[in-house]
Amino acid sequence: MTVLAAERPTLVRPIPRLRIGLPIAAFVALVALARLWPTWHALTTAPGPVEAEAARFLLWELRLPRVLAGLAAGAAFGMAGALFQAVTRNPLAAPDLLGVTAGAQVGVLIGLTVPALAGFAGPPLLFVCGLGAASLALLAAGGWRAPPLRLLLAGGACALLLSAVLTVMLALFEQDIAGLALWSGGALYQPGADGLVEAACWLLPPLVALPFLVRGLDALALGDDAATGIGVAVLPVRFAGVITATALTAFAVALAGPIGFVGLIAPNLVRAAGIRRLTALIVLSALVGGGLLLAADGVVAGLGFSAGLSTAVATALVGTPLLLILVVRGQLLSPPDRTEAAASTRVASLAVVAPALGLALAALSAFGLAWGETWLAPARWVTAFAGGDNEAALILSIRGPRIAVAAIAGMMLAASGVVLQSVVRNALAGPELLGVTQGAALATLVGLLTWPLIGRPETFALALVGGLATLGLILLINRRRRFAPLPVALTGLAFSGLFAALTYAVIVETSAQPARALIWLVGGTYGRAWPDAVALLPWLLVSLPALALLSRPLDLLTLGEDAAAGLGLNVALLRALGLGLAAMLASAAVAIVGPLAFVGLLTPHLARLVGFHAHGDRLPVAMLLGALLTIGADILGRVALAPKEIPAGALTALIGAPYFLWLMSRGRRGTQ
Amino acid sequence: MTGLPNRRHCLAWGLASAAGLGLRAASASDLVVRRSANLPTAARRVVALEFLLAEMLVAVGRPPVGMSDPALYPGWINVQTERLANVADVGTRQQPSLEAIARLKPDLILGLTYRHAPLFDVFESIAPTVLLDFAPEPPRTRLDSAFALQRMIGEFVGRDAEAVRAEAEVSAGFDRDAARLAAAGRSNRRLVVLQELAGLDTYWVFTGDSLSAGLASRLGLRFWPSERSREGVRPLTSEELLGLDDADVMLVSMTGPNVSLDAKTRSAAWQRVPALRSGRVGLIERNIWNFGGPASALRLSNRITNLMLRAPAAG
Repeated sequence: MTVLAAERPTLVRPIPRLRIGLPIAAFVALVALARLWPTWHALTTAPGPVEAEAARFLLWELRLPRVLAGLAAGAAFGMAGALFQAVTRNPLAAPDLLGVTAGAQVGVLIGLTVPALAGFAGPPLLFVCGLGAASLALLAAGGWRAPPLRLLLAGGACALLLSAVLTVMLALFEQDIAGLALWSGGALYQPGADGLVEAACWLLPPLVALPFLVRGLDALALGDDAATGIGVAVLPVRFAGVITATALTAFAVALAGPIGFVGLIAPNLVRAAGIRRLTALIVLSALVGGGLLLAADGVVAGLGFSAGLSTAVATALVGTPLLLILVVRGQLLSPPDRTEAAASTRVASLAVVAPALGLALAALSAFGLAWGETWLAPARWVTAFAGGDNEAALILSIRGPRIAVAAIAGMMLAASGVVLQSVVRNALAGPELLGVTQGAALATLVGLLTWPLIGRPETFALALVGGLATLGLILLINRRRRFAPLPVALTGLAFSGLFAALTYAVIVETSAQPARALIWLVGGTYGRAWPDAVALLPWLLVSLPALALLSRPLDLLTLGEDAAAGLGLNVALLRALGLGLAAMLASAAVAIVGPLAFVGLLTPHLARLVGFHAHGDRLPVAMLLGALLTIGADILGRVALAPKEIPAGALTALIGAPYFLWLMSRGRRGTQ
Repeated sequence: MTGLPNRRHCLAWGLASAAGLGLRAASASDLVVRRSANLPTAARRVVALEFLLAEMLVAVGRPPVGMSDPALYPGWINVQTERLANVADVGTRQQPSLEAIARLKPDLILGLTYRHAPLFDVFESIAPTVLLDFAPEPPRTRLDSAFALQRMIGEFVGRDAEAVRAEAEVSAGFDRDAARLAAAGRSNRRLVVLQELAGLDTYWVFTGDSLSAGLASRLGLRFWPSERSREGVRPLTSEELLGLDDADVMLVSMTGPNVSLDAKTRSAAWQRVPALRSGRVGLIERNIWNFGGPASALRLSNRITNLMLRAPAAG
């Protein structure tokens, strides 16, 4: 059970199909009946022909289509998940995690904001965008044979990038997309049977293709060579598999909104029940997916939450615990994954690199102070300081604190990333992929929306509570597994998904005008003042000695747990301290700059890329690079479209994600 | 829909208790949530960080020197746009460029609490700042708030008399529309105003505290839904319209004029909506007048009146 299930189909008897399939089918039928019963009852007890006619319409044109839409979308997500997993031989591949759902969402937005494309809006456009995202993730991860963890992280980075794109578009076209956030929560309302029939046409092609694919994909489970041996054309089968799965996802997203989580949950549940054969897996995943979505939609409708809004939240709320149970029980384990990013020889010693970076930092800061819509030559700084140039003083007081905040937050996030990657012993971890950033952001956002006039101490408190609580949960869940990289990453991704859904729900429920919250969610340095920098600085200063103290033990930890323990290191204590420190650094940064993505994930790799492996060297280099990246994003965001501001977080994602993906593909080639 | 308190209630409660005194009444001074201690007696160089504030400044005869997204104003409000021809662009409404504002050397910055509360200190370092709010206390509506805000803005820029006169003009316009409706026997009909959204047959419906609700009472119409919400809207699907037998439905478009009402109401559910069957659904061009000032309200009033008069007589 602890090995990737599909890899050893011969060891498990494919008997329990019916025994499991029947109860699932019965459950789905029951949920559907429960949804339809009140309307059916109204129809049968209608006192007159007018009421009966109305009830009949309600049943056949509104309720039944909604139930069918839920079933169809859930089934399509389920099948898409099963297909993606078969193609990649990776139990964690799913429309969400490969970025396909986010890609389809970008497609929806393009359809809305580019009138010329209105004719193609709907499944075709969603399909093209989704396919693009999937290709990107697969390419970056290193093609079909990428190990699960690598694929997962490439997909996660892809999804982060696309959601940054999405948020910037939402922010810039605020009014055009009012209400789109409503749809992002999942909307199954069907105003008639015709629309559903029309949408169902897009389900037909992938469904027709499916039977032809199953034999080939089933053979893939034996391994590429074995599959080739029995006459399966491996590459075309995979290609067709990805296209079919993406088409299924596009259909489901067009119908129900981005609830791709179902595609991860359903096949894994079925597999956990002992089903191995692909045909059975696909059919049962479809059933389970349909049932899940239908049940979630029923809960939402039954509790009277706003129209269609919370289907995604309900799915995430149901799905996350299921996923976590699978993690805890070790059913999602896979062979060990050696993914070290590109290592290279040191370009120069720390004594050269650190001052050089420090100099670059000072130069970039000075440039940032000078550059803008108004050019401020250093001569004017002097007069401004002397009190002789009010305009320059005012502009410096706008630019200065932003640069300071960017530098401090960049350093903190980078340090957090380095420590996290070492402690979790996962070269591709980062606060944003482990859910720590999102947890801190969710807590802070709730505070900001509930009390608009909230002060800084409360913001810090909320962010720390959110970030540390998330970390605590991740640790608690993975305690017995001794924080093995894959379960930890998976737990983090599960939490990220849940928090993202909850965050959207909070935004939509608190306000019909989501722009302010969405912009905060990207993270940035806009409008930050000196008190922000002053409030952030102590957190960095306090953590510096701790980082210095931990750097040597962290070096030992990279030798392996047993080796470190053999050298007299208290590994458990070190892990707890390191994780706590990393979470604190990330959370405190989030309190001031919001969930800025990719700084914590990327800079440790950059530091390693220039040849710094020992923590005593890597930490300062990564921190300086983090400050440089964030300041660069701040300056660019302020000036590029001036007077319009691009949030710095969007820029760190737009710069960081492609680089990260490139780094991944490069690292793979290096190890082969 | 339900008796259980849901998240919306909890959050609304939290917000109301936090805003405290600021929301108690819709008199002018209570619409200000934060303001600088010293304001100029008659501000001359004003920066407006939301469309409705720019609209009100124009209405009282003191157009702003800088505003957010002036390029988008014609598409969403388009009231007296010609008087904003020389206004400087200071960036987006949510994240206006502080440098662009500072360069204009304003003597007053006007913003909205829900967008700009965290920026108050930063704004104040540039110029005296007032952050406004327009959530009204029952039984008042956003129309009352709009009038109160415009009067207050008139005082800020030393154009009190113009504010009073502008208000009287708008009121007279409402009275004319009310008289036209009464003459055609349309008084006391039930008005429903929808904002089209991206979703399938999913809309915002303007609620009992919205500007439209205030307009309905000035025009002698009844309004649905009467319940209030925090921002003047709540989501609605076409299904809810099936039960409204005696309503005139106004649908505010989110597309250009190339998409007709027929194209928007093709679904089986819409085809059974009583208002559509009796020709009482009107399509209003793309706008956000419901989130605008008194002049926007008058535009909306004219459109609603014209569309209602075009519909067949009550039968």
